[in-house]
Amino acid sequence: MPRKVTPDMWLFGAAVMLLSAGVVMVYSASAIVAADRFHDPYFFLKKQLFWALLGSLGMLVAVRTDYRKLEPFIVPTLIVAAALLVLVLIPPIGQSINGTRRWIRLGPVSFQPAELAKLALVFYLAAFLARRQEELHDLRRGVLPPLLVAGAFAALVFVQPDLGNCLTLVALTFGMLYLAGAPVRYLGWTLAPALPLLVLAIAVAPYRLRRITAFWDPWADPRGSGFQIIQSWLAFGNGGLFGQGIGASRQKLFYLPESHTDFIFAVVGEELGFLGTTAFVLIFAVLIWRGCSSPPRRS
Amino acid sequence: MTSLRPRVLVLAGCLALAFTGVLGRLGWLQIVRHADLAALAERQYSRTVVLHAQRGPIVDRQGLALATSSPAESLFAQPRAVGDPVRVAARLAPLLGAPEAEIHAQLTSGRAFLWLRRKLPPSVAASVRALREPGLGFLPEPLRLYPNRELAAHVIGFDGVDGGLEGIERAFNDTLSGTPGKAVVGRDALGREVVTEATLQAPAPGQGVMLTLDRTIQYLAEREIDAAWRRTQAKAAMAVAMDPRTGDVLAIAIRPTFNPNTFLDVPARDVWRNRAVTDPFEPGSTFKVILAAAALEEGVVRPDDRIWAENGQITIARTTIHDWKKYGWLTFGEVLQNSSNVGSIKVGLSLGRDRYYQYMTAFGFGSPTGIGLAGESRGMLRDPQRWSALSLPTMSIGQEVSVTALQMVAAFGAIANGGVLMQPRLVRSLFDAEGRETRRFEPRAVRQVVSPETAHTLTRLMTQVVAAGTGHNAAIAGYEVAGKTGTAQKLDPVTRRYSRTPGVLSFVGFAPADEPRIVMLVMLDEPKNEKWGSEAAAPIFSAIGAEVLRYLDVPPRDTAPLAIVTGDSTAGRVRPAGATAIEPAIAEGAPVMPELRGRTLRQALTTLAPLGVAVQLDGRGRVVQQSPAPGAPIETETSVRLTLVGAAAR
Repeated sequence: MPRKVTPDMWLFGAAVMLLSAGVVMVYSASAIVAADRFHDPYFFLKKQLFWALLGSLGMLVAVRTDYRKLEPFIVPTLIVAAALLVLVLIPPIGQSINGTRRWIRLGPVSFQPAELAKLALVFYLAAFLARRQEELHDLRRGVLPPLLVAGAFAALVFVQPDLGNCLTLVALTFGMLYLAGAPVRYLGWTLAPALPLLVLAIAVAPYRLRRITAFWDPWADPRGSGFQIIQSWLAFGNGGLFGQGIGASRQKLFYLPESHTDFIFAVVGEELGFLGTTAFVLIFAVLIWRGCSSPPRRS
Repeated sequence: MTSLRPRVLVLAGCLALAFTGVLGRLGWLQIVRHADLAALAERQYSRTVVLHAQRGPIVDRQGLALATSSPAESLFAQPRAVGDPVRVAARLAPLLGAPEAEIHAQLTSGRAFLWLRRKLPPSVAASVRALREPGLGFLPEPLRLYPNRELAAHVIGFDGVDGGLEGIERAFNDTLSGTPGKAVVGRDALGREVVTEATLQAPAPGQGVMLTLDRTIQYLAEREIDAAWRRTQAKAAMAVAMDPRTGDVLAIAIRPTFNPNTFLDVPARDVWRNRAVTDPFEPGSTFKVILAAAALEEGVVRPDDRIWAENGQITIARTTIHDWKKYGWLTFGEVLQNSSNVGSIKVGLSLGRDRYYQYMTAFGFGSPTGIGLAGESRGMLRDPQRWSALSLPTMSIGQEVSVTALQMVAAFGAIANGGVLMQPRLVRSLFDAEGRETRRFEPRAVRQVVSPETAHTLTRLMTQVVAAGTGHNAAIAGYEVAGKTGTAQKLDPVTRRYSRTPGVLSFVGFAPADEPRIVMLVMLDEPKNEKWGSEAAAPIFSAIGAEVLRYLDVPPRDTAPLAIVTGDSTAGRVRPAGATAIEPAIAEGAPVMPELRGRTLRQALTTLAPLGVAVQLDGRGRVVQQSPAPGAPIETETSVRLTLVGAAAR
C-alpha cells in the first residue's frame, strides 16, 4: 500500500526550475531557426512543452511509487533496451544520420535507445549492487556480472557509433561499482585493458581526434573543425557578466549550429550572462547533491 | 562492512572540482575575455563591403574628356531579409530588365549577401528604392563612360568590373582607380536582418590622366581611316600621328574598332588590340628611308651619286629581285624617288650588315618604344650573326624585318627632328581630383641617330618622292611633304614564306618638310580594291595631313611647282610665254580643249600656249587628267586644270 512520502523540496525545486528555464531557453534559441526551417517559430517550443508535460506526469507517478516495486521490471527493461540497441543497428529501423545509426523513429517521435539503455543500466546496477553488497569482494559473483552487462551495452552503443554515450555507460558503471564498495583493484584491472581500446577507437576515426584538438585549439581551423567551438566562445563572451537580455542572442542566428540543442548553454551564456550560467550550474549542483543524498527513509 | 563514506567523499570531491572548473571557465570566457570575444562577434555580424573609388578621368591634351566616371549605384540583396521573394522578383524584373525566374532564384539562394546588379544608373536605382522592399540595398559604385564612343578606343581601352582591362585604363589602372573605401552591411539583434549602411572609410578618388592625343586630330584621322577602310575593304587600317619635336602621339586611329562603353559587344576580341603597338608588319619600301639615312650618314653614298640599276633586276644568292621598271643610271635621290629595289640593294651592300644593323637599332627597331601600353611588340630584327646571304639585300628593301607602326613613326620623326629620336609619349601629366597637376612627363630625346645635315639631306630627298616620285598622292596643297610609300607582301606565320595575298600598303611622312609639325604613318592591311601603296595610303595621308595642318594653324607656303592660281589676282598667273605654236590647237570656229592626256608637261604647255588660258597644275610628269575635257569649248579666261603623274610614278 502506498504511503505518504514528503518529497525533497530541494530536489523538486531544482527540477522545476531547470524544467521551466529550459522551456524558455529552448524557445528563445529555436524560434528563428524554427521559423526558417518549419515556418513555425513555436515548433520546438511545442515539442519541448510536450516532453515537459510527459516528464512531469512521470515525476508525479514516480513520487507516488515505491521504487522497490520496480525491481521485477528491471530485467525485462534491460532486455528491451538490449533488443532496441540491436534493432537500431538494422537499416530500416535505425535511421542513418551522418553515417551513424542512433535513432529509432516512430511516426512523429524519435528516440535514442542509448538513452533507455542508460536508465535501464542504472536501475539494474542499483538493484544488483544493493542486493549483493556482501559479495562485491568476489570477482566472479559480485563484480563480473554487472561489468558484463554494462560491457555488452557499451559495445552495442559503440558500434552505432556513439563514443560519447559509450563512455557515459562505462563511467556510470564504474562510478556505481566504486560507490557500492567494489575493490578498487578489480576496477583497475578491468579498466586498464579498456584504455588501449579507447586509443584504438580514436585512431581508427580521425574525426574524433580532430574534435579533441578542435576543443583544445579551435583557432587552428576556425572555419572547419574549430568553427562550432569558436562560435560558442563568442556567444559566452558576448554575454559578459549580465548578458544581452533574454531573446537577444545574435549567435543563435545561424552562427551556432543546433543552438536549441547541442549549443543551448551557449545561448544561455549570451542572453543571461555569467550570472545566468552560474545559476544554471548551481542548480545542477543542487540536483546532483540532493540526488546523491540518501532518499527519505522508508520504514 | 567497510564504511563507504570515504568513497562518497572522493566522488563528491571530483564533482566539486568539475563544477568549479566549469564556473572558472565561464568566468574566463564571460568576464575576462568579454571585450575581445564580443568584438570578434560584432565583426562577424556585419559584412564589410568595398566601396569603389571614383575613377579618375582620361582627357586629351586640351583637357577634353575621353573617359569619365558618373555616379551609379550597385544593388545588393540580403536574401534572408527579403519578405516575399516571388513578389520582389516580380517587381524587380521589369526595372532591371532581367528574367523574373533568375531574380527569384537569386533571392532564394540562401546566401547572406549577393549583388543583384552592378552599376545601375541613378534613375533605375531610384525606382528600385521606391519599392521600399526590405532586404534590398545600394552601395555607390561609379560607372565608367566613354563620351566619344569609338574615338581613340584602342588607346583609352576600357574598364571592367575589377579595373582597367585594356589601353590606358589598364596601363594606368593604379593611378586612375584611387583607393577603395569600406562600408559595413549588418543585421540587427532582433533576428530580422536589416540593412545598415555605415561608411568606415571613404574612398579616395583616383587621379586623372592627360594624354598627348588631340581629340580633333584623332577625329580627323579616324574619319579618314574609317572611310578608307570601308572603301578598300581592308582587313585593318590605321593612322598614327606624332609631333616629331616632342614625340607626343597625337592620334592613333585603328579600324576595325569598338565602342568601349559596350566593349563586350564585339565580333572578336582582337578588335580591342592596339595594332599600332602590338602588331608588327613588314614595312617594305618605307624602310628604304632608314637605309638611306644610314648610307648618307656613313658617307657610303651622296644624293647625286649615280647608281647603275642593272636594267631592273639583280641576282643575289641565286635569288633574283626585280624593279617594277627597267632603270638604267639613277642618282641616289632617284633611287628613293622611284623606289628602286636594285638601287637600294646596291647601297645596302656597300653599307654592310653591321653598320646597317647598328642604324636600325639606333632608330629604335627591334626594341619596344617604351610607350607604356601593355602588349607592345618589339618587332623583329635579327642579330647580324643570324642573317643569311640574302638578309642584307632583302632588309635593304624592308623585308625580313618587322616593325610596329609606332616604331616607324618614331624613326621618321627622328629624321623630321634633325636626327634626334624622341621617345613616343602618350601621357602628358597626371592630375588630382581638384585638377592640380601631380606629375608631369617631359619629352625625352632617346639619341641622336644621324646628324642634322643628314636629316636635312634625307628630308630633301623625301620631298622629291612626294613632289615628283611615288608619293605624289600624299602631296598637300600649300605645304611641302616629305615621305615614302611602301607595299609589302606579308609573311605567312605558318609557312614562313611570303604570302600571295595583298600585303600592307603604307605611307610614312611628315609635313611641313622644313619645319615638321606632324609625322604620320597611314597603313592599309590587305586592302581588296587597291594594290599599290601610292594609290591607297598616300591620299589618306594627304587628306588627314591637310586638315591637321590647318587645325594646327601652320602657315601654308606656296611650294607647288608651277602652281597657277586663277581668279582676280593675276599675280599668280603664269602663261607659258615664248612658246612657239607647234601644234595650234585652234579648230575651226570656237577654240576647243585639246587632248592633253599622255603628254609631258612641256608638250602640254606648248599646246596650250596659243589659247591664252590660265593653267593650274597638280603634280609632275605626264598628264593623266584634264579639265575641261577634250573637245569642250574654251574661252580666253578659262582655267585649265591638269593633273600630272611622274613618269616614274608607281
